Amino acid sequence: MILEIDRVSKRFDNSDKEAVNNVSLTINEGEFICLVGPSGCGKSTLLNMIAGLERPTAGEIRLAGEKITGPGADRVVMFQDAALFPWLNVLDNVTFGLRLMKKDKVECNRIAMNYLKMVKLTKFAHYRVHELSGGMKQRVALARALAMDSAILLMDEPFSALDKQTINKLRDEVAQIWEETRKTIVMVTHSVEEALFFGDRVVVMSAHPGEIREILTIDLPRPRPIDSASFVSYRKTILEEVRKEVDRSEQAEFGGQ
Amino acid sequence: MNKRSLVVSKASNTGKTLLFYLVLIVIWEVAYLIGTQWLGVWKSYAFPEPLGVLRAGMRMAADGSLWYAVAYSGIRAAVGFLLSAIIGIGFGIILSVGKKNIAHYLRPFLMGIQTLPSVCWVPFAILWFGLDEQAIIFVVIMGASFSITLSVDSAIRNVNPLLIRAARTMGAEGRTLYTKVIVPAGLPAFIAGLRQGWSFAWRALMAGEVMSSTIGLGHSLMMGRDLADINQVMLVMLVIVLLGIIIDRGVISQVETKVLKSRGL
Ligand SMILES: Nc1ncnc2c1ncn2[C@@H]1O[C@H](COP(=O)(O)OP(=O)(O)OP(=O)(O)O)[C@@H](O)[C@H]1O
Ligand SMILES: [Mg+2]
Repeated sequence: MILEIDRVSKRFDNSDKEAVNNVSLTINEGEFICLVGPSGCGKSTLLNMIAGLERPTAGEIRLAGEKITGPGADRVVMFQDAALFPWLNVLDNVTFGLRLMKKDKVECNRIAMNYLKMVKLTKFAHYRVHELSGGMKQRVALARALAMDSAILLMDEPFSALDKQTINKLRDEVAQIWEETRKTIVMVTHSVEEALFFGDRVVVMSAHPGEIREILTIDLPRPRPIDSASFVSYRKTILEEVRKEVDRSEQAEFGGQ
Repeated sequence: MNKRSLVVSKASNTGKTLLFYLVLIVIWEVAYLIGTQWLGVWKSYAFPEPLGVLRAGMRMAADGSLWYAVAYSGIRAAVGFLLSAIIGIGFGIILSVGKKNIAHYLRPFLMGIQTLPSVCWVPFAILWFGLDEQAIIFVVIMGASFSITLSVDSAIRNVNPLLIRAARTMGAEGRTLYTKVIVPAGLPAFIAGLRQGWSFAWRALMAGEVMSSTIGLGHSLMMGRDLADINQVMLVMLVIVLLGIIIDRGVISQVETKVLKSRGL
């Protein structure tokens, strides 16, 4: 299923600038796309429009040729905060979306346990949400998102609330899961390293207004060791690119002062 | 501390509390004796004493009037609270899902009504229903349902929007979104609202019963006054306090604690 972002703009009611301005991007099935850029450049807004949680003020987004008009189970989102339901245990959190699709309960639990195994949490299936660590919560959120087996998985800085060690572990897990499932993933991240680690293509955005600056195709073989020479040099290029954007948007924002 | 010593210390705490009240009652009795018998500054018909309260309680228990009063008030409380909850929840839902601007205008009005002491509804109640059961229930409903409405409204509006967004991207919408996310997410706040609603209902009930001439605790209170039996008045007041606390602590707050505990709150 191809996702087409077609000349999409978004201006919030209380703003005089486009948060996202005339963005076009075609995402192929099975692609891992990373969105990077300075804070406030509209990454989350773009992701939310793909999710259907926000409506574009101009242009449209199509999934398999069909215009997106609202949220749906074919575009599950994983947020920075795990957003688990505190009144449900781990297993019931993971089956939440499956049960809405009216699948048989036993079948749902089977699928959920499968994904809990992937994120190494089978032992915690009957734990309450508040009994989990931050990293574990995020893994449950990952299992919950994967269990939906949606056409596209959207992730908005899914690891940024975690500590370094947990991040590294989770990244490896996600990379491995992606190799296995070859899902279409769009991930927003503020870490260039993360973008290089995951992305088939890295989309660099700029702020005020939020536009696509550059789209880099990353030809590194997988799995990608983050300390290899090619990785480091790639990283330098992109870091410079983003740095320029940060400077430019700060100039635009605070320039007159 | 291990479990056992926790239990022991809890028990000894309860013991201390009981002792505290025992001492308080003794002081009360002594004060009564000094004031009425030795100094003669208090009139014994206007000042209750613990032993007199006990006697009044035994008398009313023996002739059954206490049990009748408790049963009638209890049934009225149950019916009134239940109706208040139904009406309150209904309006709460309308308020929070209905058109945004209507709710916006209605909220201050409801808050205003909620500050009105329920006894203020008595004239209305009597003119509309006469000195009747319906009049008392009406006062209870007017006293309790608006506070429940407001708590339902705020419980729904304060649900973490992130949970709603997450659920929507997993395909929850419309009624499902309510039953699967908004209601369970708002449950703790809602139960707290019910608890407050109960305390309003109980007060309103007593206000209504004091005015009416049907059997009930409020009426027994006024009977005590008519008979110039201050001990009966005191006894009924204590029973009213006790029943209010028992429902609050013994029932509603148990449910509340359970819900909060299951979420680690
Ligand atoms: N609900 C909203 N109402 C009004 N303005 C908004 C809203 N959400 C975002 N914006 C504005 O849109 C712009 C883009 O915001 P967005 O959250 O998409 O940025 P971002 O790239 O995700 O930033 P960050 O890296 O800090 O998460 C910002 O200027 C922000 O102030
Ligand atoms: Mg963001």
